[in-house]
Amino acid sequence: MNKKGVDILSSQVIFIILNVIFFSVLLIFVAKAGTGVGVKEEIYSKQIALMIDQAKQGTELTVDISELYEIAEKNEYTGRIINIDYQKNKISVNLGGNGYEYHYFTNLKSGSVSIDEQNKLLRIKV
Amino acid sequence: MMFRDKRGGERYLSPWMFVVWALILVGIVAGVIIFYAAQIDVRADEADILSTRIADCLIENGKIMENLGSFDIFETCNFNEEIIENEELFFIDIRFFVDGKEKEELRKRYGVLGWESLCAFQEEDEQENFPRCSEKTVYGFTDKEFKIKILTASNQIGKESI
Repeated sequence: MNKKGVDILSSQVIFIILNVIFFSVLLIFVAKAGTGVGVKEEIYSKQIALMIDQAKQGTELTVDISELYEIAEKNEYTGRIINIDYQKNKISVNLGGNGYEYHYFTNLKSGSVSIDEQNKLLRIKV
Repeated sequence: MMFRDKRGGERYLSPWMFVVWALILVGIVAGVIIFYAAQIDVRADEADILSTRIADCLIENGKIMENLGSFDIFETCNFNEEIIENEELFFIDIRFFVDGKEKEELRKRYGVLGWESLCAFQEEDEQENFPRCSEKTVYGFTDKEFKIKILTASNQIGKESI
C-alpha cells in the first residue's frame, strides 16, 4: 500500500472512531437526562397526589415504588423516600436530588399512608 | 477512484466537520435541557379530577343529595378547606339550574374566585401561567330535574423541597 493510501485509510479510521465517540457521548447524555432524579421525584410526587385525590373514600391503593428504591440506592440516598405531611396536605418525594413536593386536596387521616419497605410498596387508605 | 484526490484525508477530518459536530451537540443539549426543564403539567388532570369528585358527591345513582342549601363541600366531599380556600391553588364554582333557570341561592364558590374569568379566557387563548380549567354539566333528580354546572380550576405547579 502506498503512503497516500495509508494516510487516507488512517484518516477514515480516525473519522469513524471520533464519530462513534461523539454519538456515544450524546446518547449517554440524552439517556441520563431522561432518567434524572429530579424528573422522577416530580413524576412520583404528582402521581401519588393525583391518585389520592382521584380515589373514592374507603379505597385502598397499593403503589409499586421499587423503582424509587433503585434510584435512591444509585444516588446513595438513605433518607426517607416518601414523606406525607398530613397537616399541610403535602406529599414529598426525595431520591437524593432536591426533592419535590405537591399538595393533595383530600383529607387524609394521620397514618393513612404507609410504606412496606420489604416489598417496596406504598399503601394508601383514602 | 473514490480517493483519487491528493487531499482525500482532509475531507474526513476538516475543521468543518468539528463545526458540524459542535452544532449538533449544542442543538441536542439545548433541546434536552429545555424539554426536561419544563414542568410536568398535571393541572388540567387535577381540575378534571376535582370536578368529577364534586359530581360524585352531589349525585348518587342519579339522585341529587338532599339539603342542597346547607351543602358543605368540605364535609360531604372530604376536601381540605385550608388547601382549597387559602393556598391559591384551586377554584370551584357550582351552579344549579331548574327548568333552565338558575337557582342563584344554591350557587357555591370556593378558592380563587377571580379565576372564573381566566377560565373563560383560556378557552379562547391558552396562556401558560393561567390556571387549567374543567367544566362539567351533570343532571340529578329530586322531585325536579336539576342541571348542575361544575367549573373547577387548578394552578398547582408543585415545587422542589429545597
